[in-house]
Amino acid sequence: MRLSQLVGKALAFFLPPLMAVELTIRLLAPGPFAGVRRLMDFYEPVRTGPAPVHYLFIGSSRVAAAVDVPAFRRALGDTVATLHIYNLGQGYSTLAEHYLALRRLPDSLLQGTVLLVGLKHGVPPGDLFTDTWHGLWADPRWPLLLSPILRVQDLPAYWWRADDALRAKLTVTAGVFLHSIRYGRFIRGKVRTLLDQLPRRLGLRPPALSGPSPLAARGGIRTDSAGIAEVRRQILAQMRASEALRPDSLIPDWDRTVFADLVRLMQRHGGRVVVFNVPLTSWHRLTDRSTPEKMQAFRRWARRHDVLVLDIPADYPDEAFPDLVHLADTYAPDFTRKLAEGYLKAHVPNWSSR
Amino acid sequence: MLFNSLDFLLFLPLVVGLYFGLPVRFRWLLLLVASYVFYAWWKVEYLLLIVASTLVDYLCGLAMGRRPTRRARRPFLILSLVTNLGLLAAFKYLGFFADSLEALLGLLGHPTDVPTLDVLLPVGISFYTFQTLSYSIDVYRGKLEPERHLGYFALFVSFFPQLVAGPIERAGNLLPQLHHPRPLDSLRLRSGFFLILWGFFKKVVIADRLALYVDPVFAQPHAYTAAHYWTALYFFVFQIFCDFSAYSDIAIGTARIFGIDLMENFRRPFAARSIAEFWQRWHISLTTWFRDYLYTPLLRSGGRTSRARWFSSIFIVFVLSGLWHGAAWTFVLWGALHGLYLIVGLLTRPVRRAFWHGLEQRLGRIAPAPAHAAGIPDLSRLLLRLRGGLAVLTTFHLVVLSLILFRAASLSDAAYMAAHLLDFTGSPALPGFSFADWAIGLGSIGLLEAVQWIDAHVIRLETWIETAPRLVRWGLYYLLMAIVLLLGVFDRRPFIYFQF
Repeated sequence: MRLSQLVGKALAFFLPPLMAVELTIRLLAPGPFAGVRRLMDFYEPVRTGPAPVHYLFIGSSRVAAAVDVPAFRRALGDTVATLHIYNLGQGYSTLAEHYLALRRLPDSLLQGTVLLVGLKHGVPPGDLFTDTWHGLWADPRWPLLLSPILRVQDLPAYWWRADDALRAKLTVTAGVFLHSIRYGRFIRGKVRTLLDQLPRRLGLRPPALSGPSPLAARGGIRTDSAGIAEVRRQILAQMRASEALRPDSLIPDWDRTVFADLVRLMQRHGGRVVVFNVPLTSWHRLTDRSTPEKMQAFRRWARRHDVLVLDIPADYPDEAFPDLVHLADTYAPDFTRKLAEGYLKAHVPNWSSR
Repeated sequence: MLFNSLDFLLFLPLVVGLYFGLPVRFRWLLLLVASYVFYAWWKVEYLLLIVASTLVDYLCGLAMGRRPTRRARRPFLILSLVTNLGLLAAFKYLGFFADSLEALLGLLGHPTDVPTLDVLLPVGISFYTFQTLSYSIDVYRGKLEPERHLGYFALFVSFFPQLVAGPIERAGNLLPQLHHPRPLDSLRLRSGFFLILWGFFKKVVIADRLALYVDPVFAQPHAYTAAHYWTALYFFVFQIFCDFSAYSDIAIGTARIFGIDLMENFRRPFAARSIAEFWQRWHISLTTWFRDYLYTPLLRSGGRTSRARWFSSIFIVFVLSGLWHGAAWTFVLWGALHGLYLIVGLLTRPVRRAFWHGLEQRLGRIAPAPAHAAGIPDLSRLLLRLRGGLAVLTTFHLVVLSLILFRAASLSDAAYMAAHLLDFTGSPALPGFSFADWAIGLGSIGLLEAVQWIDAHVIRLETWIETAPRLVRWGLYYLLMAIVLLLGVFDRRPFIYFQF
């Protein structure tokens, strides 16, 4: 057997099923995968929505959990929903991804948009410098989020400049071209859900569970020793991951960061950037802080560049964070109201007296 | 580099392509570079250990080859042993010995802080040191000519498919194959690819799925009940088998694609009728290593073999085997327990034989020949089957119970679990381990057992796949790939035996 024969056989073996799966997924994308597509391509609602966007919240899943758009609308007095407001907080997204996605939006959408960026302690990460674009573009925990945002012509820069791991680059690049890669984990999740639903469909009663409950995104906080140990483990892992993402050192030049580019982009369209702190647990408030020097340096830079930095009172008890990371639904309207009031006080002259 | 990673899935075809694209005389070099890259993926610094071990054993081998008598070769054997066991001691056991000494001094009322090296255990160190040791011992014994080409020897030590978790190869088997590379062969490619896929199935579908149940129970045994313990133990026995044998399958399959045959490492271990047979079927390359290089010399040393020497040799070998598996008292006791199993098995063998023989004779008197004439299987054959079934069941459960020591995080955890094994309350259902997990876990164990049974009793699958029609073969490959992709757990969980 010759090597060329081996290559030919390998192509004949792998390509047809890959193409069949890819075709099926693309055909099904508007249907069963619509929800998944919205999750992966999280800027789609904005891209396909009406222009202009008035208020746009961006940030991590903490923003997704803490900002309640109807509450924000109410606080602004928008009773008939004339304002176009979106919460694009997304778990495992990076500021680079938000910037790249915003850059791709049509100009008409961003006319006069107020971009509200939710950040831990109200300080942006300084891990990516847009003069070189070195640094992490995608969060290693979910690099595929970058795939729908990247254009094919962005790929050489991504490979050449980004500090993402080789595995992430391969995954992201494959995700740019192949929907089967993008949606792979969701298809697997679907299979699992179907299997999980089987006993109910067969009319079987689920067995009684015993043993400590795992952490749930919504629900009670575990107070048993195993639960606390598990939470500590998770938090330490998160802290290590965030350290990898954002080495907390003084930023030599804020003008060169991706955040500065974001500000310039919005201001070019007559918009404004507002930074606010996201609610954190007591543990994160204590342990996950930026240095005071860094915070002061950022605030000085923000003042110079007309970026509004809001300090929203967000000292919620730890019970308000069911998974010790995200604010519970029940607390989100309160936080959003405070955020809206803070914004209006700072932004609209004499608002508090009205 | 993990076998169950994207890195490896890209690395392997690249190396295969380059290997068969290169002229034959350069192939060893490519495999050597690939092996070092494969190992350096974890930590580049630890390559130095492999290189050091390689150089020492290469030079010792050459020196021994030039000396005609064992006496003259002995210093070089000692040098090789000290170097390899020294590496193992320094990187694997120093912390364990220091902790044990500290605990002992504390108990004696002299609390002392014993200094130790705070280093990460180099992946696979127990495997490649044993592999090089076997070479040195074989050269010392005159069973093997020393390898004169440093490159081939380095490749023998570091051959990437089996570098970090075996099978622990012998130079006599591997070196000649490295010297004479086989051409690309479609039959080998078929069975190699099948073994790799089957390995992935065992690792990501079975082992890593069952780990979702096993890990929390063993991490916090106090929070669970006997029902969980039993389920976790039954799951763990399949988890560790699938995890480890998956590595061997992928290693053997990968090597086969390169035209190299590695030794068999597992042969349906749960079909064993005794602990002795279990060890002839489980981690065969390690068992035979201990047999050839430790057990036999122990047994033969000092003249006549007495029963005491026999049993003490068995016990020492199993205690050391336990220590080989991990630097912790739980592993030492696990090994000792298996040694005891074996000794008790040998001691009770005459009694058990007499019991079954007596039973057969007694039943023969109660129900003599006519049953056979009526087409019903002979009573003695039925009895033989019953005996075999009971032996398999007993052996399996002895292995299962010993795994409490193997898997528990500490001796106190193991003691707690053992003490509460019969306190049945609640159900084995576990929050976070859903119906899908149960269905996939149990279903895949069923599939595994069925395939193994067919492989043992109907047709040898590796040979069948080589000659099966393309439609059937590819269908099987696609099916396995679909199962792996849809039902696997992809959290890049390392293979359990990497820690050894």
